[in-house]
Amino acid sequence: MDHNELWQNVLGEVEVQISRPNFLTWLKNSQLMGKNEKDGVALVGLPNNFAKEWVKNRYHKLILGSLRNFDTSVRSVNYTVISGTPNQIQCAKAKKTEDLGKPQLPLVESRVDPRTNLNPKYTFASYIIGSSNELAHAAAQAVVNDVGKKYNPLFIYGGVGLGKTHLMQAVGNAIHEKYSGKVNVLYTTSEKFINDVVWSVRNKRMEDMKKKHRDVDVLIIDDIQFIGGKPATELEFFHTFNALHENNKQIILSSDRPPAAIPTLEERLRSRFEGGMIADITYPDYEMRLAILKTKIQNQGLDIEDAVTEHIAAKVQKNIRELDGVLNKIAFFQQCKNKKIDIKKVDEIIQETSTVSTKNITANDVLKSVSDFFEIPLNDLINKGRKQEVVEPRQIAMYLMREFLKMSYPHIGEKLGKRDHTTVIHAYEKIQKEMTQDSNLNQKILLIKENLNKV
Amino acid sequence: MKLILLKTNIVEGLFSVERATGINTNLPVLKNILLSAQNNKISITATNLELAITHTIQGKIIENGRAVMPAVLFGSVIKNLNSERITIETNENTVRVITDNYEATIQGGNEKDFPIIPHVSDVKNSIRVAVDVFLESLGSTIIATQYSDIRPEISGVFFTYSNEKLTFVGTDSFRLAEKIISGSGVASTFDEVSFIIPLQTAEELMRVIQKSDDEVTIHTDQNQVFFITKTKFVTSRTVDGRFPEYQPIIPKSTENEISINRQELLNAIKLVSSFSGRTNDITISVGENKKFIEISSQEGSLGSSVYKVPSKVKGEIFSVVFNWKYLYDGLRIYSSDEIILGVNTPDKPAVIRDPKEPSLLYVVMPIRK
Repeated sequence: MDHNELWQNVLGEVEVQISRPNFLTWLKNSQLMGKNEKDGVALVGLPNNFAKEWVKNRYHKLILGSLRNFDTSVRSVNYTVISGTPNQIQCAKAKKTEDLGKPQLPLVESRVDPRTNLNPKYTFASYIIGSSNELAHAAAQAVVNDVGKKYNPLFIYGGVGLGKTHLMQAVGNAIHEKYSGKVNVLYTTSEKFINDVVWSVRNKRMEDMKKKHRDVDVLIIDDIQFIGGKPATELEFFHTFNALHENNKQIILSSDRPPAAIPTLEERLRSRFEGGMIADITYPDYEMRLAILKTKIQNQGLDIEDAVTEHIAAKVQKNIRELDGVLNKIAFFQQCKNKKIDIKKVDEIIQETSTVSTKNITANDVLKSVSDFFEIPLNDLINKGRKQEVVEPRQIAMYLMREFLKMSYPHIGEKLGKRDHTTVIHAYEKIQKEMTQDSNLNQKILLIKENLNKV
Repeated sequence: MKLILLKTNIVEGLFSVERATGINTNLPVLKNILLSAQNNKISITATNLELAITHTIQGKIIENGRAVMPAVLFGSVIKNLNSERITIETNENTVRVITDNYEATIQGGNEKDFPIIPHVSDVKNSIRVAVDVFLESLGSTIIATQYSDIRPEISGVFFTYSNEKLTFVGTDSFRLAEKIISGSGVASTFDEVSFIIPLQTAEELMRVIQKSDDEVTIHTDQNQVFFITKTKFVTSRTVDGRFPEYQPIIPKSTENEISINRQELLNAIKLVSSFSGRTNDITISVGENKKFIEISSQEGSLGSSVYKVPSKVKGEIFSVVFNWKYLYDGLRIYSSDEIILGVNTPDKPAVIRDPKEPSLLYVVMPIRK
């Protein structure tokens, strides 16, 4: 019988012996925290001090007797207050918070440095290096040592949650520290940049905007892909970029894809982005994920078994942020239940957290979602017909099968009505090329991908 | 139990404890007070299982004992009596209140049902604070605190002792008040300790503890905090959770500083506030020559008003919008005539400071224009 079960039995027995209000007031939310096998002392946790005093003084005999009925090894009982449980007895009258309307600004609690916008928690020391990001890391280090000269601009790209922001902020923090604040660093996101442009256009304060972004020695912009397709922002950014670049000021940019693949980006910006150093960050391998997990566990002072850690590293593959989420949930679970987590529960947590379904996607799933998306019958996709409206969907299907299922070209051809593998190669390359130019196509593929993950 | 008490003493005791009685719980005994005579001490106690208050009163004990009776009933009997000398006698669960020309028998409860009040477990360690300093500090920080279901960790006053300083902090995420006590006002045997007391506890402390109490001794263990004076004993659970890191919120410096007469600014705000809109917004802007500031408000359906207050301005010409209530609250916790209002940009926190009293600080966020 585990502690939980034992305690439920005890409560069941006690409940019939005391009045219901008393039971609800004093013993609801109580727990058996543990038992010392050697001297037979059981430790009972209660939600607050009042309950602790009351139970200790009034129900001690009852509880000890009842515990001994189920577990004869119990010799005595100690009581403690569990913190972190909701206090059931809430009498404080809630003052109605005034409706202040939106405009009242809240105090910001982040530790972000207001001048540089950098969050000091991102440092090189806490950045874990593996084969997937060592190029980007080395380039970032080089930038710190040789600000504005060596790799300018530094363009980092990679998928969601792989540590682009961490790396860029680490560069900013390292520069800020190394030159003890003499070098002005500014970190901003492209969303903020866009807002700044919009604000300054509306308020006719373009000069402020220019001053803010051009009077810096290091400008770091996160998620630059979002400025694509916003002409005024692109223009402003173009001028900012030139002004900084001419004066050998360092520029660091990040994006979720290489400059060539940002569809709406103007050509002159694209060529500028490509003029410096482009480094990618890819998915971390198993060893690296394990190293990241272990570091996080150590930093948070958690107690998680190695087997569990290894299991998580094996299961969560694509996103470091997801690793974080899983870890936090496990920490929460262990704290609440006060027991170690097992692999089965970990799997449940991963299931809940994971945005990508772990289910395998098959070639047929791809075909189905493409035919659903374009609203053309599945057969038309496979049949020989070369009607204009089926050609592109068919090519997209081929592209997706190649890109995501890593199927061989002949196999894809097989699936799509015994087509030749050269046809498939042509389709794949065509789509890949067009994606870099046609945002419409890009959007379509993104939507199909989302649908696929939902299946 | 048999006691002879003075009416004023009982009324005083009832005043202290009455708001700690519990309502709406499934434990009816919480509506009662406990009257106890033991070890030559007479005390009245009430609790709602979150907060407990005991007030020791003077009187003559003829026979020791304990009695539990409804707080409201006992209160209305005592308060309306016109004799000063009252005899209280208990028999089983009934309480008799006797004066020369009046006698009441109150149906009480079983004293064994009354909750047991937690006692100080760590007697050795305490923080001692002079009562006037305590009340002033708690009073200054409580105004910035508000009850919040969403963020329980800020719906209370944060106490922290370290480096021989006791700091009080209150915030509702739009403003923050901090008061630091050091030197002769505070003595502690803790090296470092911090806890959050619930807002209701803070409010009751303000009500119950009086200047005549001399000194407040604070004890705490992890989950419980005790405030003890000569005649009062207030204990409460502490708020679970960690108080936010508030230091980085406080601006290190302010670019624009207005040095101004506090009373005049208070008057101006009060007057101008009549024309403020739903968000309580008033605008503070620096006038030409930087010789005065303008406090103004306007609301389409009401009209507008402007008030000019002479002041010394350091920095540039600017204009910031505030919630007048927040500003008014902040100004009221100061006592000096001259205060400084420090403003950075219209979207950064502003600070109210008293050049003569650096231990008190009030930070307030503006309203977006």
